[in-house]
Amino acid sequence: MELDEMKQAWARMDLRQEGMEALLRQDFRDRRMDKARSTMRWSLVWQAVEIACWLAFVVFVASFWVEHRHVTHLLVIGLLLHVYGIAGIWSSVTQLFLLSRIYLFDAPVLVLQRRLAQLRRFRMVSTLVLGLPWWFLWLLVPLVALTWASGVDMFAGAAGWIWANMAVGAAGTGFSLWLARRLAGRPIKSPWLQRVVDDMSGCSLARVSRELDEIARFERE
Amino acid sequence: MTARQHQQRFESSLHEHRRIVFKVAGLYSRSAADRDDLVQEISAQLWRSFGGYDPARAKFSTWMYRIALNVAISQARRERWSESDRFEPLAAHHLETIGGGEPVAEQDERLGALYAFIGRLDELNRALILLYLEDRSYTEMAEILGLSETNVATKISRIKQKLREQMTAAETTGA
Repeated sequence: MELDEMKQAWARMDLRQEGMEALLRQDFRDRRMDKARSTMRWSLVWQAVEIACWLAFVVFVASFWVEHRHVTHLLVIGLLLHVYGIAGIWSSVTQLFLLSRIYLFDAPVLVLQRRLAQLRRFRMVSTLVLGLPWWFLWLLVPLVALTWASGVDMFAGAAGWIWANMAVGAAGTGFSLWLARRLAGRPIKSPWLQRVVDDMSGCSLARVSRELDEIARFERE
Repeated sequence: MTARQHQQRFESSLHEHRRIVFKVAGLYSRSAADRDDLVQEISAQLWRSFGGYDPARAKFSTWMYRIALNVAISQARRERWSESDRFEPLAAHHLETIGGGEPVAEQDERLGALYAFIGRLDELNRALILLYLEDRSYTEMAEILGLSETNVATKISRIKQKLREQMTAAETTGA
């Protein structure tokens, strides 16, 4: 049988659409469509709010290290947080840009699927880049906040304890990555935990890369 | 245009081209329930995007195919992710997803063969074959998929060749 014969068979196929048509009408009756529109708008608004928060964070941290520029450890911590804040702005702005490119979903299939895969890949990388430093930041952020609010320099009073916690943070970062690699590929009941493991072990990144390769191959061949 | 008129215009355009939504949803879902979900998902995305539709840039059907296929392929990929990279091929029971619950294999055994063939294709090739079966021109297929017309023609000719080989092999083995 040739494809053209199949085309004829396909054209003759009687679609029983009554149920599906009712489904379309019901969507409007239930106002689900308006809900769908506002959900998308809110995700863009949320991204904009995130950028505003990061900007506020960077401004605060910059004023902190400028004020304490004569105290080496506070200057270094302030600068590290400043870099982290800039990474946060870069991540949010890029995500907003990538989201705006897929917002309408009306680009040609290959273009949109590539953009979606790029957005997914970027989200994974930025989650790792912004997430793992919290092994250290959980201590450094309160330290800066305390110094700013009360003028008490925690580092000066308990440098040894802070360094010990930084060492634990370094070990924790390594352990997280090692554990994710060990657990990768094993079935995990919680979908959330599964996603974290896949992201941290690099499995998700490999999948997105495969998707991008598939698209490129489809275009090329 | 008031919001009510805008919605009415959308509803009437959607009604006129509803077959596109049903065919795409049928080809990318594994059960009637999946298909209904996909129909809703596609119509919701069409409504979201309708404000940005520009008739000067594309025909309504082209615009609608793009969105329907993008939603269906994205959903199929999401499911594949959650099921460890498994993109389930279409099988006999999938016939009911496009036929609305009635087994269509009895109507035409060629449809069964067609589904078996389509079932072995990945998401992107599935989109290509759907557009071909829907008798879209190469120009429109190229616009919908984002390929050149030459590329579309080459791909269709390859798919035809592949189908011929599979049919010959099936006849040889008596399958």
